[in-house]
Amino acid sequence: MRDVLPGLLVALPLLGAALIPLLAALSRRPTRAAALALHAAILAAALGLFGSAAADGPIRYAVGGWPGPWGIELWFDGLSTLIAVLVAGMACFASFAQTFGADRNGAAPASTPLREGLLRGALLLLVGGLLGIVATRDVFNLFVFLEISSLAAYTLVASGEGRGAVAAFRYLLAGTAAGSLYLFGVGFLYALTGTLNMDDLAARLPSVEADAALTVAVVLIAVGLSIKAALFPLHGWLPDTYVYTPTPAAGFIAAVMAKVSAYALLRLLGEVLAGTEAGAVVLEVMIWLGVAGVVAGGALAVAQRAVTRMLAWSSISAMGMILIGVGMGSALAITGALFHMAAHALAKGCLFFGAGGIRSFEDGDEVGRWAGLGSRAPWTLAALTVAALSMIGIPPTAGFFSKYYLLSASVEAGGPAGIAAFAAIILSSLLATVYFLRVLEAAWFRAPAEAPDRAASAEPPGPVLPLPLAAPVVGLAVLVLLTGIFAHPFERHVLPDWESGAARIAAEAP
Amino acid sequence: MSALFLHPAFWLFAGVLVVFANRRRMPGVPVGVIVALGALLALVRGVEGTLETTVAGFRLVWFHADRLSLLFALVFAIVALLGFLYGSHRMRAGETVAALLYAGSAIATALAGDWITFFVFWEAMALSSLALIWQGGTAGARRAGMRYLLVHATGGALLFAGIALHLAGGGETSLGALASDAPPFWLILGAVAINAAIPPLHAWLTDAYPEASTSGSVFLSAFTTKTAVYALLRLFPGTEILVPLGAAMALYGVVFAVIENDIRRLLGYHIVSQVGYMVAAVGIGTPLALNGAASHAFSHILYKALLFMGAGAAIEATGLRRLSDLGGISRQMRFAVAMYAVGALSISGAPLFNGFISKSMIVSAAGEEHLLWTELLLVLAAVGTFLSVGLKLPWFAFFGERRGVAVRPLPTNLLAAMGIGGGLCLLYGLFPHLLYSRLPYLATYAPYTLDHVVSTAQLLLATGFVFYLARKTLTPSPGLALDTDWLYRIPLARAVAAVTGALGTVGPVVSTLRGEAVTRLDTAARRLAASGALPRRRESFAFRASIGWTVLFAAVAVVITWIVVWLRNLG
Amino acid sequence: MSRRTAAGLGIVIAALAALDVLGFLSGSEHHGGFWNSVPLGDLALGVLGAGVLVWFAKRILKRLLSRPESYYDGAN
Repeated sequence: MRDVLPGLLVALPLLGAALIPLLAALSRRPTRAAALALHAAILAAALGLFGSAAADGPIRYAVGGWPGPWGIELWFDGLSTLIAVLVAGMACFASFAQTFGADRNGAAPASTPLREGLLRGALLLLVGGLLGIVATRDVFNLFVFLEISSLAAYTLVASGEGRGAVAAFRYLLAGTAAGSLYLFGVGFLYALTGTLNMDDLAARLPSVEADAALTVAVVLIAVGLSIKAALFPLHGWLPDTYVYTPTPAAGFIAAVMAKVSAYALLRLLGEVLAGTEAGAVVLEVMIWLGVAGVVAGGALAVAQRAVTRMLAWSSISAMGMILIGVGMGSALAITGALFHMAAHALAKGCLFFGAGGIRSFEDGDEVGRWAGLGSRAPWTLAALTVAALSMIGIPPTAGFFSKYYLLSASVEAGGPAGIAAFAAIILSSLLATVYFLRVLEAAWFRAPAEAPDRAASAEPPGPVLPLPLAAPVVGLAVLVLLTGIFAHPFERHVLPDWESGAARIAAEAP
Repeated sequence: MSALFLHPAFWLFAGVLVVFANRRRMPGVPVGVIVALGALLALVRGVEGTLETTVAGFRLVWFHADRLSLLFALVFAIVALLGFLYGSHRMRAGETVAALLYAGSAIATALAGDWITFFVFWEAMALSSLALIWQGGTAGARRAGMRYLLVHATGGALLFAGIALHLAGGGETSLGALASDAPPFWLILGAVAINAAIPPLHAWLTDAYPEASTSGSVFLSAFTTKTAVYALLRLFPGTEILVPLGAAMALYGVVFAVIENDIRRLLGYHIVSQVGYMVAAVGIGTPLALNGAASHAFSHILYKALLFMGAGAAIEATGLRRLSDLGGISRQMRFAVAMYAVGALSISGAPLFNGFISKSMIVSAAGEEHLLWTELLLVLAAVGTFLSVGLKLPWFAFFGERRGVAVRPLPTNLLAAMGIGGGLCLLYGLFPHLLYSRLPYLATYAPYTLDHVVSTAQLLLATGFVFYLARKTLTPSPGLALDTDWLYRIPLARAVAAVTGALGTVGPVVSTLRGEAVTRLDTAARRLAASGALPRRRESFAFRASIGWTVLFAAVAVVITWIVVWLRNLG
Repeated sequence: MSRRTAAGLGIVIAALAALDVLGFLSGSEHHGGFWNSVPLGDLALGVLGAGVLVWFAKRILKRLLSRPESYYDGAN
C-alpha cells in the first residue's frame, strides 16, 4: 500500500481532470457520480497515507523510480498527509456542491452539462496541484504544481458571473507575480547549491557562504509564497477572488488554497531554509506582518456590509494567525498553526457554502437578507452558527483550541512579538464576535418582513438552501465540533514528525 | 455516567433539545418548569464528588461540588423554576431555549471545577443571555443587545486572555484563588468586574435589562451578576481594592435610581447597588464577610427576581413601563402588589425578611474590621434602597393618583410564581438557619439581636419620614439620565464612524499613490480595458498597481532583510 | 400629617430610643460606627443620609445628566 498510494494521490486527480470533461460531453449524471467517486478515492488515498505515516513512519516515494537527489521525490509525513486529507476532504464537499451549479454565484440558473464537466475537471486539476505542492520534495516541482493549481483556480474564479472575470484577472496578476518571484528564488538557490531536492538543499546550505544571493533567494521565495498565502499586506487579490468565485469553488478555494501556500512556507522556511540567517529574519518579520493582518483583517471585516466579503476579510485575519504560528516555529506554535488551518478550513468552507447559497436564493448578500432565516431553516442556520462560533473561538469548537494553542505559543515566545501576537489574537476574537453575531442576530431574531422588499411578495418563501449546499454545510459543522473534541492526532504524531524533521536538519548543520 | 444525570445543568440542557424538537407544538412550554424542578431535586438530594473527562487533551472538570458552588447552583435552580413558572403563559420556544441555556450555563459555571469548563459556560451564559435580550423583539432590544454584546465580548476576550496566560504560565488547571501580582489576575478580575457590573463597567446592565421581555428580565436579574459574585468569591477573596469599589458601587446605583423613571431600569440600578454589598464583602475577606457575600447573593436572587416579577406584572397588566405613566393600579392587582412589597422590604433589609439576614451580616463584617467609611456608605445605600424600591417605585407605580390606566387581569401562573417567591423571602427571613446551615465558610452570626433590629428600624423610619417630606421633589418625570454607556453610544460610535469614513477616503488615495509610485508595468491590462473586455479605467490602473506593489514589496523586503543580516553579522 | 399620625410616630420614636438605650446598657457588642452607640443615632443618620441623597440626586445629578428620551435616537 505504501508503494501505490503516493503515486495514486497525485495521479488520480490529474487523470480525472482530463477524463471528466470528456465524460461530461456524453452525459451529465454519470459525470457527477464519477467525479464524486474520484474525489472519494483521492480522500481514501490521503487517509490511507495519513494512517500509514502515523503507524509506520514517514513515506519517501521516488517518482518513476528515480531516487533523490536526482529524481523527484514525494514525502509523506504526519504534516503533509494531514494537509492532504484536509484538501481531499474539502474537495469532496466542493464536488458535491458543484451539483448545485458549478458556476453559480448569483441568481442565474446552472450551466450546461459540458460547462459543468469542464469546471469539475478544473476542480480536480486544482486538487491535483495542491496535493502535489503538499507532497513534493523538490522545490522546482513545487513551482510546477503551484502553477497547475493556480491555472485551475483562475478558471474556476473566472467562471463566475458578473465580475468573476475581473477578479480572476487580478488574481492571475498577483499569482503570476508570486510564481515568478518564487521561481527567481529557486533559481538563486540552484545556482548556489546545484540541487533542487529539499533534503539535499538543507544538507548543502550550511556550507554556502551567507551572502546577498542567499538572502535574495530566501526573501523571494518567502514573498512569492506569502502572496499566495495572503499575508498582509500582500492580500490584495483575496477579497474579490473569494466574493466573485462561484459558490461551490469558493467553499473550496477559501478553505484550503491559501493554507496550502502557508504549508509550503512552513516546509521551506521552517524546515529547509531554517538554518539560514535570512530565513530567521523573514520568520520574525512574518510574525509582525501576521499580527498586522490579524488586526486589519478583523477590522475590515467589521466594516463590510456584504456577508461574503466579510468572510473574505475574516480569512485574511485567519491567515495572519496561521502565519504568526509559522513565524514563531515552536512546537506549540506549529500545533496552533496546523490546528488553525484545519479549524478555519472546515468553518470557512461551511460558511462560504452557506453564505454563497443564501446569496443566490435571497437575491442579495447584505446582512439584512439573512433576516428570519433561522425560523425558515433552523438546522442549516444552526450549522452556520456552529461554524461562526468556531471562528470566534468558543469552546468546544475547533476554533477555540487552535486559538488556545497559538496564545500559549505567544506566551511561551514572549518578547514584544509574543505580546503583540497575544493581543492581536484576543482582539481578533473580539472583532469576530462583533461581525458574526451581527449576522446571527439578523438570522435568528429579526422577522423576515424587515428585510427590504420582501414584504411585498406574497408567495411563501422557498427552501433556503438546496441539498447540494445544505449537506456540506451541516457536514462541515459536525466536523468542526468533532475536530474540537477529538483533536489528539495533532499532539500524538503530526507534531513529533515535524519536530524530528526539524531536528534532523538541525543535526546536519555543522 | 450516573454523575452526568446528577449534574443539574444536564436537566436544563436536555430540556433545550425537547423544546427545539417540539418548537412548533409547544408555545409557553411547561418543559422549563419540569427540568428546573429536576435540577432542583438533583441539588436538594445533595450531589457530591467530581465529574471529569478529557477533551482535546484538556482535563475538564464539569462538576466539582463544594458548599460554595452548591449554594449558588441551588438558588440558580430555584429562580429558574420561578422564572419558567412566571413566564409560562407567554414564553415561546425561542425564549424558552434561551432561558434554559442561560440558567443551565449559570448553574454549570457555578459547578465548574477547572478554568476551561468555567470559560465554556461563562461564554455560553453571555451568548444565551444576549439571545434572551434579543427575544424582547423590539428595535430597542436589538440595539441594546448589540451594545450588550460589545461589552460582554470584551469581557470574554479579557477572560480568555487571562486564562490562556494563566495556564500557559504553568498555572493550576483547577479553579482557585489567583496570585495578585501577575497579569492573569488583573485580566480575569477585569472580566469578572464587567459581569459584576462594577461602575464604570456597569452600564450594559441598566441599558439592556429593561429591554428584555417581562419574563426575560426575571432571568437576567438572577444569573450574570451573581455568577460574577461567585467568581469573585472563588477567585478573589480578600482583594482589598474590591472594598472601596463595592462600597462606591452600592451608593452609585442608589443615587442613579433616585432619578430613574423606567421601573425596570430603576430595579437594574438596585442590582448594581446590591451587588456592591457583595463585592465589598468579598474584598473584606473575613469568613463572616465571605459568608455575608454568599448569603446576600442567595437572598438577592430571590427578592430581586420577585421585584422584577412585580415590575413585569405592572407592565403585563398595563403595557406601560414608566413611573410617570403609571399610577393608581394597586386595587386591580392587590396580590401582585403585596408580593412586590415583600420583595421591597427584603431588599431594604427590613427585619423578618430575607434581605435582613444577609445584608446585616455584611455591614457587621465591615464593622468588625473597623472599616468605618465602608460601613457608612453601605448604611446610606440601604437608606436609599428603601427610598427608591420600597417607597418611590410602589408609590408612583401602584398607588398615587389614578390616571385611568386600563389594567388587564394577570394570569394565575404569574401570580403563583410571585407567591412562591414572596413565600421564600419570608421563609428565609423568619428561619435564617435554613440559609446559614448551607453557608460555605466557618463563621457564626446572629441576625436578630436587639442592636440590629432597632438600628434597622430607625433607618427605615427615617427614610419614610424623608420620603414623606420630599415626595413632591421625588415625583418622576419623563426623560433619561446619562450614564457611562454614553461613552460608547456617542463618542465611541462617532469615532468609529469617523474612522470608517476616513478609511473610505484614504483607501483610494493610498491605492492612487501606490499606483503612481509604480511605472507602467502592465500594458496588457490597459489594452484589455480599451477593448472593453475589462470595464473601467480605474480597474486597469488597480491591476498595474497591484503587480507593481508586489514587485516593490519584494524589492524592499530583499534590501531590508539583507541589511538586517549584514548588521547581525557585524555584531 | 394628622395629629394622630404624629402622635403614633412620636410613640414609635420614643420606643426606639428607649430600646436603643436599653441595648446600650445591656452591654451587647457594638462593632458598628459611632452612630450606633448614640441613642437615636441611626434615626438621625437616616434622615440626614436620605435628605442628602434626595438633594444630591434630584438637584445636582438630574440637572447634569437629564436628557430628553429621544436623546439616543439616531445614535447606536
